Amino acid sequence: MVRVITGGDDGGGEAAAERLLPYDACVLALGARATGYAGVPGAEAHSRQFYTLDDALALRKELQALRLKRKGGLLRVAIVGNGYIGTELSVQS
Amino acid sequence: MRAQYRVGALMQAVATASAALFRGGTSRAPRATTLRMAQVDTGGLGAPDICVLGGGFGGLYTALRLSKLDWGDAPRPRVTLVDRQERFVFLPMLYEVATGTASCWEVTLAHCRAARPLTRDLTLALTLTLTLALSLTPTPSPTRTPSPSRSRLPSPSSTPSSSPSTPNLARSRRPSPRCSRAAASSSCEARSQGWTLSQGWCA
Repeated sequence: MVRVITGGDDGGGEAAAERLLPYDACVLALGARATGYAGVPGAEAHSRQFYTLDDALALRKELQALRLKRKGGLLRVAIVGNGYIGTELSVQS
Repeated sequence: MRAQYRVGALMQAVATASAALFRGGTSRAPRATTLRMAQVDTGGLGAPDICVLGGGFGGLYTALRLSKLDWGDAPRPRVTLVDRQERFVFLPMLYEVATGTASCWEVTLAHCRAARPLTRDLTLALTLTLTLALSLTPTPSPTRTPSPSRSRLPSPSSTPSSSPSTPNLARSRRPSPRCSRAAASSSCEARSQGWTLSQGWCA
């Protein structure tokens, strides 16, 4: 039985509604999230993840703010991870 | 497990609670809720249930493929897709959003539209803002009309028109007012070009 809780927040806040879904088979496809940061201290606090649409929009906002601040000067952005997304992101920027 | 479907009191309680929570609900909401509960009751009998948690590439494509498979004489399973958001996000194009070369409507697609080419009837449970549960099983009953459920969707836009607003929408086999309304309520909507592109993904 899957319990679908809606209207709450990620921190387990008060849920607004709840529904039970029975199943005979269940597929878990919940996606991924960077965790651990290889034990590098401060890495989590001073970096941002790039996986969801919200991440992308936040990054765009931050880049625009930086560009305005530097007034067309050189921006230095470090991208960790050279998979498809990391490579494309570094080339596009 | 199957017996859970017959616990009408439980479902009715959930339904009542949900109906009270729909911000855009009108006086027609209770009627629509009753209708949907009836669908749940009949749809659950005899057919296996498959729950897909997560509406990314893995989840959405699994759900679509499962509902597309030829099940032969076996009863078609009822596939339910559960996701945190009402839209599928095309992750490989996300870097273009970050760099400002693409808008978010170009990389997202409402789940109900992604599933529409494969379904004749959608059981759509869009509750408040966070989670969407979408049932992908084609049901044999042709008499079911989706229109009473329209009022149940929380829609921040107050436009009463739920008719297709772009020419591309008219290309779908059976335009569902529920779907267009659901899509209209999301801030980033996959319109014209996005939908054309997305049909390719789902093919």
